[in-house]
Amino acid sequence: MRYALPWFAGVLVGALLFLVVLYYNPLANGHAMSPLAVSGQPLVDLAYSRVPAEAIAYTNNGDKRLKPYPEKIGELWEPTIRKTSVLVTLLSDGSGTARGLGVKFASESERTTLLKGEALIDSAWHVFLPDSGSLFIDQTENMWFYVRDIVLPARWSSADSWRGTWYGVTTAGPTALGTAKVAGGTGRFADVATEAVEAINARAYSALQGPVSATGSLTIVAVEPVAQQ
Amino acid sequence: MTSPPRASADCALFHKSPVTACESRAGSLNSAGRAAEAAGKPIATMGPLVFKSFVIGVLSGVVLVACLLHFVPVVDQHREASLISVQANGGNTESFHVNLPDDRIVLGGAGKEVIPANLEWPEVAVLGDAQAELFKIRNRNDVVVGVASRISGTGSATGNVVEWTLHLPARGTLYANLQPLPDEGGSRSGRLRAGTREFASMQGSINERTRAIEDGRENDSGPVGRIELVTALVREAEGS
Repeated sequence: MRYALPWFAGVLVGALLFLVVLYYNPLANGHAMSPLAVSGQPLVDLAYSRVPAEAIAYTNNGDKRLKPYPEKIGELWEPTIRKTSVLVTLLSDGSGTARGLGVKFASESERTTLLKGEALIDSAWHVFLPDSGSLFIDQTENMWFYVRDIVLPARWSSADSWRGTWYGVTTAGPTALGTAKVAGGTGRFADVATEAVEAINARAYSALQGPVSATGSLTIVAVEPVAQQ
Repeated sequence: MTSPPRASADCALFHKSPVTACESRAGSLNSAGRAAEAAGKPIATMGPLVFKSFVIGVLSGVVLVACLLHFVPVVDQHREASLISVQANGGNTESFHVNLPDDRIVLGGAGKEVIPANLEWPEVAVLGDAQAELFKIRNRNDVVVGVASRISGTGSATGNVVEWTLHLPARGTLYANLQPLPDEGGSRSGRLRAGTREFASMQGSINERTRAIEDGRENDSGPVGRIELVTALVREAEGS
């Protein structure tokens, strides 16, 4: 019993030390650069706002900080879809011109391992670009670095917010190079299999309402040179 | 009790000048010594054992948290049994449905009625007559098992398009193109273009049929229509 107290104190210190090392893990580094940046192949860039209120529609189980939009939209409260969110958004090109529609499904992944610095999301994009074609993107996203660098500092901040400039590629698979799989549907993408990555450019985040200013981007390897729009 | 002269000299030599520190240390040793004496243990073994307990505690804490993070799943998706009928060719058939209007989460399109009523559809020329719908999808037992999007419209590059994406969080996602026009029976059939996880190496077809429910209503809030989706999938041959 005499040694129980120091042992217990040691357990607390050890647990705390381990969590600190895990949080600042220097061996776990996010992708600041897209694996496709050096591919030399023509790329299609699509951008969208990550702020739910700037989307066409956004829904989840209704219990999260990110509130469904618009207000009266149905919520995903059933047990099988409680850990899923859906975003319907307008996709624009690099110059800000609208190109089409995108629907993003995102579910918390059972392969999440915080021990490896992985907070994984299984996500899928259904994209319809009337002037180009339609396609499907299957990806695993690692949101750990976004959570570590933005979400947690915002919660710990006395102002309940984070401001700055943060860029990170969230796509972490399923391909060996850490890119997403793209399956073409119609138009230019018909029967095409290619790759893509998704990235986030965040500038402001509120611990109470989620992203305040953030842009998401999809970079897709084009199968043929992309005509200038 | 006072410290022996030799111990005081060593202490002063080691600490250069802090006689007070040594005195206080001597005081604490005195009380520790009395405790050790009472327990019948030599005073020299007390400090190291306490320190060892602390170090073992630190290691235990590290191992405990590591095991906790490794063995306790962070995410556990709720699963419903897959209600699959096996076909003669080794493939399988599974049916899903959407109860209308309750399971429709979003309906958007230019110049059309939108759901929810306060949804703002973007007035963008490039979208033309494109329509996006979002549904909850149910299995044969009428249990919600996923969400799905249906996009239809006409594009300069795509022609007429009707596409479905079925997202089943615990299993994977299916993406299919359907014929733009329904057949005489009101059905559309299409081809599976891609699948993920459980559906990653599958190929096959998807059939969509919309029907009104005329006599199946048990009460006023029951469904008035149903979209039925039947998948017939078979695993791709190795190397194909």
